[in-house]
Amino acid sequence: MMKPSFASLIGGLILLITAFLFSHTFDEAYQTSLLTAGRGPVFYPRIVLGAMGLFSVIVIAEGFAEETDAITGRGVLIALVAVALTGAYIFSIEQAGFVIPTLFFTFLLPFVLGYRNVPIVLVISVTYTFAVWYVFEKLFLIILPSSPWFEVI
Amino acid sequence: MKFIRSSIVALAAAAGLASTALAAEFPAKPVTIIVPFSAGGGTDITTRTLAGPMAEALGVEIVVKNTAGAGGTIGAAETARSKPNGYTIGMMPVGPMTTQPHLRELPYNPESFDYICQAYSAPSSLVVRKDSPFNSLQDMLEHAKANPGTLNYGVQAVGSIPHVAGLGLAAASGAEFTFIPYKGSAPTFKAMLDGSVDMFVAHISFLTKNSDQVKSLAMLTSERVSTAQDLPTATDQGVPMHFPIWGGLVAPKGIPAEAKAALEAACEAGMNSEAFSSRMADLRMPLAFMGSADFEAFVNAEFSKNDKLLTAAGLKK
Amino acid sequence: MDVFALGLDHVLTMSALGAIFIGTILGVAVGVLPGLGSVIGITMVLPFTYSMGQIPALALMLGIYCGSVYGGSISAIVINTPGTPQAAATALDGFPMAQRGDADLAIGWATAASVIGGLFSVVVLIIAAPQLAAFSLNFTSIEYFALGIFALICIANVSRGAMAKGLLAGAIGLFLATIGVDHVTGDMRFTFGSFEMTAGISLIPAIVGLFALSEVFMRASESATVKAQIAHNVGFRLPPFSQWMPRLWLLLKSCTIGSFVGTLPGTGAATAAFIAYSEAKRSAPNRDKLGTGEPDGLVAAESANNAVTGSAMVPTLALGIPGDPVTAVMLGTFIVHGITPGPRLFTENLDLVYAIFLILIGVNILMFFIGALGSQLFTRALRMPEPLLMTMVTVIAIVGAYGVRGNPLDLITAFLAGVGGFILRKAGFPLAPLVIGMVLSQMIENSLRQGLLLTRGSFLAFFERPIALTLFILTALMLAWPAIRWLRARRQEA
Repeated sequence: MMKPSFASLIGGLILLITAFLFSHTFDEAYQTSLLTAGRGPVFYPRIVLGAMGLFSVIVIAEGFAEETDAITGRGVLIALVAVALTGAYIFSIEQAGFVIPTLFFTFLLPFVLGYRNVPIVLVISVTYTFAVWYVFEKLFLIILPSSPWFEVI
Repeated sequence: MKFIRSSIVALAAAAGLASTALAAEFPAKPVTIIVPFSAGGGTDITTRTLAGPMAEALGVEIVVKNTAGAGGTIGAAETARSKPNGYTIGMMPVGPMTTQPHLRELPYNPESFDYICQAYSAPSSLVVRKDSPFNSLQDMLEHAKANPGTLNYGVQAVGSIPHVAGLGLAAASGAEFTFIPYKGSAPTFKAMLDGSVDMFVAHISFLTKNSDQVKSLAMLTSERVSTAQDLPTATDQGVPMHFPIWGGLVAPKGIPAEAKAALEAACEAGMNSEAFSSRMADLRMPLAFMGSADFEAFVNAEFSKNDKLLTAAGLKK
Repeated sequence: MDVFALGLDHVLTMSALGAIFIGTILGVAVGVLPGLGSVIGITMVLPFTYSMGQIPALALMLGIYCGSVYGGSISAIVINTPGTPQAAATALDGFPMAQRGDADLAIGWATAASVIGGLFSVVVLIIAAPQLAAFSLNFTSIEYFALGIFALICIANVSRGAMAKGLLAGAIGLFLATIGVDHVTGDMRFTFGSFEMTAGISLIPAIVGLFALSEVFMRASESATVKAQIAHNVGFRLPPFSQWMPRLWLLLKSCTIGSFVGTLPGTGAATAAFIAYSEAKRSAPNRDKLGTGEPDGLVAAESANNAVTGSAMVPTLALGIPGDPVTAVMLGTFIVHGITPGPRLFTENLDLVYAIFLILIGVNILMFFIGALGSQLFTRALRMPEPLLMTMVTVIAIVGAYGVRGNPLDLITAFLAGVGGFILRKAGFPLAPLVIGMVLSQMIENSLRQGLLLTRGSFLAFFERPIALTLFILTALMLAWPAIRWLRARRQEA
């Protein structure tokens, strides 16, 4: 018995999601809709989902023949921290505006990625945050989210 | 980049002066107008044309922010749920205000807003290709009745005013059309030029811009339009219809009275400015200012009128 | 000739030349920044165009338009993140080349191909605008559907070595684009009762997440392993003419594809680049190396997407139909300045048409120098410590994703796309097919269903239309091509 590779697992996950979405296309909400030339809102998605199902089965099958990729534990851990940090950053932009979370994020991410020269990170974090803010807000006139605590940032 | 920067510095300086002089009063900082459609469309261009002179009247910078998506409802919802302090307002057209709420559940309705002013109201027109065999509404309706379902009617968006107008026309005249939805007005126009659709309903400004290639069968108004006296209306031709495509400034419910008054006055001043009125005149758009109270009553009336039309057409959920 | 002199007069003013200069620089800048692109660039200057003269206003916008389509290729090459969707195909060969340390050469190829593509399309515009506009009216929804299917072949072509995974990624892309409003019935699909989801999955935040954020996560996962230091060349290196010689035919074909697709409103530079890339995969001199950092891929993608810029003016000027949001804004500016695009423009305002030609030529030439100078800066970014570069890329990508339509949901889209892209890459999926699927899905679905309405439900009627039938046959031939080539090779051996 061969061990499934990571690709097989992902293929399996996609197959499950596809199956769920396909069953969702039989939801009542889509049946009552105004039909046009006999083809309703789920006509095309069903074709696409059918293709997704077919291809994910092939991917799963192929995956059994593949070597299981060596993902080192440490690498995954660092990536997870980077993902969590980015997620927290994006979430906090909505709550605390652009500038404050960006200061923290640009200070922390280089450490996660393995760069540990504190003075340089600090300088870059501050100048880069304000430079981006200035360019968007003042030159491009694209208003970035602002914090509830200050007038400007 | 230099001229951009210098003009922004000038604007910022003006804003700074205004805010120190009248620190306690509205407005003390830039005002954002949310446009619920993407940049470059009719609503966007009208808003930007108005924003300049309106900013002058207010004494602060006005930033136009495009929050597009889902037929304008994303931007309308954002307007409804922003802080009611007068610094975030929205330019809301007829669709997201009075047709979309009937088509599906939305996190807002006309009650969610305070009304500032109506900024434009474009008479709509049923247009065909210049070389079309039809020269009047009656020509077209006779053909449609003799050959039911053969004429293709282009629709810019399902449930939009042009669509509703077509459904209304079919109901009032007993003619049958095949409605073909496209995504926006440019593809619909293209479909008419390539022969896919026979007609669609457009803004008067569209008619003005493309008079080489299209002609109006009927203006969909109750009376002749002041800026287009020569064009017969559907009402003249025996099918009473009135479908203006309008839009106006609204704020989230509960803004301070002084902010509302200041914005209303700035809107009126902006609309009467040379920059705005001459542009409207170029497009043969009548100036259609409506103050806060009138606009609110008008939106409510439109809301129930479109409710009836959409229900009758079977589009209402 | 008098009219031409008049056109030249319009352009040879300080304000027009200044606008060309500023517009092109700004265009390249917004193109380079992931997320921001042509539309944002044009929107930024929109307020100024009202008070400017008509020619300078047009010059500013055309500069931004062409500059941004080109600028997207630089970030595609340097950081594997197409700065604009139009440059999605450029990353396929540009980034591998940069990873070998040859970012300077990759930018050289991309810049030269872009400028040639851009100039080619201006020539097309000059020679045949009214005829092409008339021809584009032979394309109804049915032909658009056939063209969309034809462009879809590119998914198979960029998935070599991981065919099933590539096809699956392509299908996922097609599906993601169906979330939100169904434009034909107005129904909401796959939103599961969430109002925010009704806006659908926006392409640009998805691209930013799939490429920029997943790249950051990839590098994070690899940061524990020691890698060989690559000596990154800095600057701008043009490929010698001898390198161009074998690729001239490819260049000409890609320019033609771009110019032709550009005349069809609503298709766009990304589609043109995909089709040109497919054709390169079929017939380019080094087709077997495509996707590994092969100049053929850069030449095909970049000459095709920039060739769209000039020819997109064809329907805009000759019919008054804007091909994309950018030309829509330009059309608005025409009207503000009292010009009516349409068939009569070419008889009544010919001086203006000539001025537009000249501006486009100027912009394309200027683009070359901006690329050459900018390249000094951009290639230097690669010498920065990788963690710092990646941090900066993340921030700018996220801001760019937000800036497109100011919808906070787009930030979440970018993040989820980043995580999803990371997982898919770890599992060996190519990501370009996903973007191709997302770009083409709406065109394919809408035109299919509009076509079915036009034929009153008959799919067979699609094959009765000559252009559509030709495209369907070409699609079949392209798909069968590897088999045809194999058969031919076997016959020659025998």
